Amino acid sequence: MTVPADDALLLVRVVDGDHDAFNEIMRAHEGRVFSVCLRILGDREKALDATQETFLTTFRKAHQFKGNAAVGTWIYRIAVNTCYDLLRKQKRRPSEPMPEHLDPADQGAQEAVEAAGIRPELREALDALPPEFRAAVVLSDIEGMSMPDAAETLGVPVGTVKSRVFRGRRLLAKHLGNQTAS
Amino acid sequence: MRNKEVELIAALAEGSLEDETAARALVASSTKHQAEYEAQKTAYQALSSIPPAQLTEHETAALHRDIWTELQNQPVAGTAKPPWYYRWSYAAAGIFVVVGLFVVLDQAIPDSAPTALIGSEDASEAATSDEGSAGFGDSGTTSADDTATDTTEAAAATDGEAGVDEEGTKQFATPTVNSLTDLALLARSGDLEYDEPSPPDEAEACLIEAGLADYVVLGEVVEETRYLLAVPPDSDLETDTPISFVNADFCTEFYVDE
Repeated sequence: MTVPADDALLLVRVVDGDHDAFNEIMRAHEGRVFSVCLRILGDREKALDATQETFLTTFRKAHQFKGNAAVGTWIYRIAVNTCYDLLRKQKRRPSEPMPEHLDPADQGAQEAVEAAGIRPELREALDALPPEFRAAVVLSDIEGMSMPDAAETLGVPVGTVKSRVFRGRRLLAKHLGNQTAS
Repeated sequence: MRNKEVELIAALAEGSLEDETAARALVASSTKHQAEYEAQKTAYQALSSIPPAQLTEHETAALHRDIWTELQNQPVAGTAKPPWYYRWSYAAAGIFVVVGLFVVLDQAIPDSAPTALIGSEDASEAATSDEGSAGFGDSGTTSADDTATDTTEAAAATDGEAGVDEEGTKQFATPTVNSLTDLALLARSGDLEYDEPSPPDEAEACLIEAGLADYVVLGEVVEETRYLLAVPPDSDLETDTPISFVNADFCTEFYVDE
């Protein structure tokens, strides 16, 4: 895990036009950004798009970073908001779910998809959650963030994120139970 | 069930309690608490068993390539165009200094006093004039003042009605309807860059307060003050769908572009 202070220095270098610094920031956070987006969006291709958009926004807004939070938290917040935007667009223009895109040239793709795969009924239950609840359980229970970190990432009070996690779990369990029952 | 109780039951389900006695007693106290515990435990175990997702080498390479391709057309972050209020602040500072100077001189010097103190006769006339641009431009003022005037004129030309009033002072406080109309036009053509409202759920609450509960937030823009742009769900911006500008600080609808 990158030390936040180092990240902040890297971001200063990004503002000064240092591309290597931006590469370092991407390398440090792209894995988690992608993971968060994949769990929120449920689609590898869309998660890749969201990851790309997140880092483009990070670069464009690097000069606006005020240092109130860790750079990582700031980036994950951008990622979550990017995912919300994609979900909103998806809602406005519903489309058939795309099959998992696998590049034949990518030797590790199948393995990665399988490794990241989750039970279909769990995926369905997760998708059934309202986006705000889904983001909260993804950050807290899948990514293992502490409640204060998740709250900072989501830009809500700790009490709100707790409430969303607990309600999200309740809804998820209900959905899983219904699936089992049927 | 109270929040504290749910929190305790959730902690028991996560296995994060050192002493589980109280939590177990609570769970055993009613079927409702028992059901809550089962739900929290089932969901937590299912979620925490999900493996972390990873990018493949190929995806990582493609991601980096695509990002840098996009960024090649972007200015360097640090040299990004300064926000609009930077331009205004220079103009405001210039006008403030010049107007302040005239006011002070006007009070300090009797009407009949010689005008040479500020460099020219025109300047004195301008200082006591009720119309025009308070002597900017054609007086013997310094080049810095000229710069301020140019900046002001340029800004006024850009922002339409946000011009100079009869006293020659700039009106900064209130955004004009024209400027919001322009923003709506940009939004309709897809050329408006929004900020993410922060935090998003506060923006939604703000829309509800503004009586636009059924609207969705497009984003946030700053035009003198912060505005949330909101539209009816599933609407096409290119058509005549209304775009509401909601004052994000007071949660009131300020302007609707239709």
